[in-house]
Amino acid sequence: MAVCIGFIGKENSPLFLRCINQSQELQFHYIMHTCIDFVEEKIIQSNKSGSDVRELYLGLLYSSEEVKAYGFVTNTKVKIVIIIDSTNSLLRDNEIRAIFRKLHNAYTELVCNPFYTPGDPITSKSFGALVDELLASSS
Amino acid sequence: MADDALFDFLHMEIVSHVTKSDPGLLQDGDEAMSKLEQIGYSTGYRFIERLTKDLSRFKDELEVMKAICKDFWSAVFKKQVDNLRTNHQGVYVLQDNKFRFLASISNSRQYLELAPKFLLVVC
Repeated sequence: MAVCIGFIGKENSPLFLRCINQSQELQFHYIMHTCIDFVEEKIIQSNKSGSDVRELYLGLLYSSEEVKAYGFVTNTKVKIVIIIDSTNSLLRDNEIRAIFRKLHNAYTELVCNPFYTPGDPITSKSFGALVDELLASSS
Repeated sequence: MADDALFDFLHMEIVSHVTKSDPGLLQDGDEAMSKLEQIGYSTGYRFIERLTKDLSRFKDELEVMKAICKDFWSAVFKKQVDNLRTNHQGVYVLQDNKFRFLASISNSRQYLELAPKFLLVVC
């Protein structure tokens, strides 16, 4: 049960955040902020381990009593975070991967739009609609 | 083959359009040049975003440079970089002996599309 999807730019500025319950938005911003550290830690760890397989998908970043956060980083250092309600463990790992893949595709499409300047907060309506749809379908 | 020609023509046309669009600019080519650079940078950025979508995560700078030499170069210029040298302190020299935009004309082509190579290192 995904409750929030967020995008963080390459310089760690917030690009986009969408959640089911508007009143929790501030709390999710806070969690996103915490996740940046975990993302960097994960990247350093996986570089040190020297394994040849390095995925864009980073796996579980952070978990608390209420929520779990999953991370994904693109090759251009844009981070995508999905926050999931801990009480519901119906979503499996490969489902989360599928959502990330869709989000990444949507993001690449967005960047290829000449009217969007990379690094700006995302205001595209169709992009927002797609994220809303993903949130709705996974909850 | 046909799409190669289209790309070449488009490139030439952009360069001539930008340099001619404002006659006042001709004296100091700086403004036209930076405009071209900016076009090159933004197309390069978008292109890279799409190109690296399915690649695995880059480990370090050297891997980024390798990706530029192989994947990016062959996607845009239909060939790989001939030579990549580095001093291991963040300076990289890419050498292409038959650079596509210069292959048909001996010189005077500008920096369009050169900008993206600075891109990946930055981000």
